[in-house]
Amino acid sequence: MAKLKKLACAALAVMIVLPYSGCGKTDTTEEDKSSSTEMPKEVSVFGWRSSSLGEEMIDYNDVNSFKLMEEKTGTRINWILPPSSGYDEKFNLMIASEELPDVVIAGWKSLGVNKYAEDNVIIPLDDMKDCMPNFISYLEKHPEFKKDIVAGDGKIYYLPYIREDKELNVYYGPQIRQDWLDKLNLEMPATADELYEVLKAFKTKDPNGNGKADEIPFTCLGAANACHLLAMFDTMNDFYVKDGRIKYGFMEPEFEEGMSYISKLFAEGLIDVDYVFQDRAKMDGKMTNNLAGMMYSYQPTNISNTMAEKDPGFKLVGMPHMMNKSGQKVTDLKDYIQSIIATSAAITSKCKNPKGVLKWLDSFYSDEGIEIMNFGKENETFTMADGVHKFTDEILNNPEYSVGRAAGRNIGAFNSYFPTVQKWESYSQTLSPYGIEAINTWSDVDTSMLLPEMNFTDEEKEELTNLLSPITTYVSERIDKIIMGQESLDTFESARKTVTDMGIGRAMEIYQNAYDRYLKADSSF
Amino acid sequence: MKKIGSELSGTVQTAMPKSKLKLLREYHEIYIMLIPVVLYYILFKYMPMVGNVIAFQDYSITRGIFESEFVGLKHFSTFLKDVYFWRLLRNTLMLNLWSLVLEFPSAIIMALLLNEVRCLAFKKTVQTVTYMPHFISSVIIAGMVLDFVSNDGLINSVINRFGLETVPFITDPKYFRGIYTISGIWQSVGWNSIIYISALSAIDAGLYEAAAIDGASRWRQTFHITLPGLLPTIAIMLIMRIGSMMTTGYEKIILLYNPTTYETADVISTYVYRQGIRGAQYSYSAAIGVFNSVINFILLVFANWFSKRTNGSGLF
Repeated sequence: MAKLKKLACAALAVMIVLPYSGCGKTDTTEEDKSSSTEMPKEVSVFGWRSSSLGEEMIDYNDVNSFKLMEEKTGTRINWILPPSSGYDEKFNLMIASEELPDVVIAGWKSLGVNKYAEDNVIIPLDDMKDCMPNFISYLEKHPEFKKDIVAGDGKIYYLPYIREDKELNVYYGPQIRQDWLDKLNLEMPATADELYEVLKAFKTKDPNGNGKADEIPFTCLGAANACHLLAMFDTMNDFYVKDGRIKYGFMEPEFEEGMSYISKLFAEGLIDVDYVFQDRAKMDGKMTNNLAGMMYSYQPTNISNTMAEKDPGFKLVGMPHMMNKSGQKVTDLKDYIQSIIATSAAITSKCKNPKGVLKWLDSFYSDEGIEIMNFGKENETFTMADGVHKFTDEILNNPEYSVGRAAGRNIGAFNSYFPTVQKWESYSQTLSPYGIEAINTWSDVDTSMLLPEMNFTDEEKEELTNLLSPITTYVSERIDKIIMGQESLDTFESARKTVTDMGIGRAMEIYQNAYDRYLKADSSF
Repeated sequence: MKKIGSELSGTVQTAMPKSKLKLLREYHEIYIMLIPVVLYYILFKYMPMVGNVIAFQDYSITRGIFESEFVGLKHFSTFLKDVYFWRLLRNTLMLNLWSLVLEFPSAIIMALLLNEVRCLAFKKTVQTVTYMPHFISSVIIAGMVLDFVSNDGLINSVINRFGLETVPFITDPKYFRGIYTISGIWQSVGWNSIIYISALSAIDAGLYEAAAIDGASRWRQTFHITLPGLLPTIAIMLIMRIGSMMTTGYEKIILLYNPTTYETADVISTYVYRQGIRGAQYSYSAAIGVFNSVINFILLVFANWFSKRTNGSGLF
């Protein structure tokens, strides 16, 4: 209760101060339409329709969090929600037709925000900083997010959906059958050599106990999945950064070393022979049918829940990331550092009352807004005890829906990508203990190798596409052939030369420039 | 237009050739019925062709066709200079050639076989069963094919039974074209045979009777009556097939291929698709579309000319 009181006080204070602060002083040179700073009665928002809404829910207005926000702000949202499969098409049509809503939620960063700003589709928000006090003060508290919000030209164009806690990005990682390890008296592997020994034991010592050597020690989805093992050799199958310099995995000697390790695993039958073409359902099937020992996948809440009834002995756990030679746990999983995912909300040039709309959007970053978006309504979807939010049975034991779906239908921060701050405190309650344990295990990792999402100019983007199309085709072909032993490791030398001729140097230069710009961007905010 | 009019006029054709205006007046109902069709072609086939100008521009979706920058043949030269251009072209043509040689005749053979079946119930059942796969989506077809040819799949189980080594069908590039074509036959043979079956039913039964009286065997009847009767249809279908030599449906390939089989499986459309994931390149895709169409058009005209020269019938 105490916390709520504090929240209310803070909200009140903000409400009192706001009219007197800068927001009231409108810029007289602006057109008359922007003079209003009142939150609008209605806002049209183009957004992302989550599948967890279910068919009978037309839009997010019935979602508990949004209902409550409407009560608080007096602003009703007119949602434009294309189904996720037709999202890109609808987005392009909307842009081309110039019939823009007030707010567009899209992957602005990867779309290349500058292009849309130049063509006057969306407007910069810098001049209206005084209308987003909550967002600014949030960034003051979390300066680490600033770099990911500033566009290439140093301006702010969008309000992002922020996954505040690191754990929220760590939903994917290596998993291993703890019960198999126990049965064979093995320790959790930590290094490349230990992993090899464990996988070898899975293959030869019949941990599933059916008398046949039908175990698939490491099952994976395509080479991209198998190549996660490269991380322990301090490289990855992509661009990455080392001591401030951009590297492309394939060109590095560490890559060759890693590939020889992976191809050795494959040659000895430790990697799924079907890895190149199987899908997730098949891979999960191998796991739940007691055939596979290890995989890279989403946190094991779902599998654990289904297996809990079928086979109580089944124990799939998150496995710590493997250590590199200097004893550091490393990963190549880019999601781990993407607190600011590309999806964010921008205000369009057709918005009649940008200041009011911005003020309204900003309210979703206030302490109260964040609480509502993460937990919904007190005593309906959550209760407070000792300053801790706890979801009610409406979410956790809903008779009709699974936890994930019940949360998606009630809580705004789940799946809508609406600009706000997501909290681990909220999300973690929908996970099984296995899931939480796995995420905690994976969170202990060094991510310095990973590149952030960067801004490329249009010219850079086009040049990169033309350079990388043949390169990635060539490299992915080599990787699969090397893993499967169709090509020997001796071909690396000439393969690297081919990639050089294809212009990898220029591509790395473009990445380096973008990365340098990213590092510098901080001060201009 | 004139041709249609004169054919319809039938018996009165012997009179002086009528003026266009008169024809128009006389058959105006028919011309009115033609309007929707013509409109359809103008609206949905010819107008969009104008959009191909974006192949010569740096098209930006916010600027539109009229304001995007004109760059001439830049996108064509980018594509032609791509290191993989020749491989993509070869693969595209080879896959089509395989299907032309194997898939195209299979429908004709199917129709001929069904034509000889006397038991109607059996014939109908076979027809229904064979064209069922046409209605199954490529995703499912490809999933089934992968299951059949995977390392522990149906085909390899049979091979193993005979004591032979497992064949890596999915990861060895030399099998890809076969898998693609054979599954294509399975998918389309029933459907494609429909047009031949209907053409067969139009052949005068009197011809068969006369041949039987003259003592012609069924083989002879097939060769001298059925096949010549089908020839115009076959010629037209063949010309149309050749006219789409550069087109391959990318869905099925994407579902069946993987990097180890790029060597034979990667075609123009899949390459562009992978490129498209990285950046929405409207102009570049349009340029490749135009490139494909031009080659298709040349092949079509050539095939038509050839068909007219050899058997006197063609599309135009």
